[in-house]
Amino acid sequence: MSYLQNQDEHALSQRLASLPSAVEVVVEGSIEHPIVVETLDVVSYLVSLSPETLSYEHHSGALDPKVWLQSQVFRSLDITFWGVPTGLEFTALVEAIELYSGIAPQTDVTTRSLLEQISSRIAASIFVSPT
Amino acid sequence: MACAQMVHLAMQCAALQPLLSLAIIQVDQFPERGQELNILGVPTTILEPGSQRLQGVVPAPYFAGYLLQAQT
Repeated sequence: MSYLQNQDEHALSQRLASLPSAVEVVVEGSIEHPIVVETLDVVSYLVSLSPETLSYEHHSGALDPKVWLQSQVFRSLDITFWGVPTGLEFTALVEAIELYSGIAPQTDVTTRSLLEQISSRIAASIFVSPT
Repeated sequence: MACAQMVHLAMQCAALQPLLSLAIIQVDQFPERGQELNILGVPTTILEPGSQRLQGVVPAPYFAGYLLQAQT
């Protein structure tokens, strides 16, 4: 299934092909869960746009369906998506893939300075809607 | 667009600070989680420790300051 129009698909394919390093997308959850089925469809489509730089795995053991990423260059990044990554979440997943591949984040000096002062773990849950 | 802006900002911060982990949750697909935490609008960001919550989109330095405050 295609999720993008031809022109957008081509542009995204080029963008993903130019990632500085490979990224693996991991989908967790039972194949009997409708969210997992749809998520696997979206993720396999995304990976098909740039199989040289992207791959995916499915882990069926987890109770809750979710998507996370891993790369060899950026092991410390910890971003998990709960829900089918369509709509705005599709864009967010692509951005996360770019960050995991090593593309530098863009933030101002003040923000960087404040972030550097954090010294203990913080977990942020962001509740969103896809539109 | 507010959700996309908040997710973008949080991901940029997470890429700079490895002590920050993110869970991006589509509340319409996990309504029980939203009800459990009394999520009344999106985007809503909840931080642990502290269970502090932030509604809407904020400027990047404000979010970083909010994170810094949450750990104390």
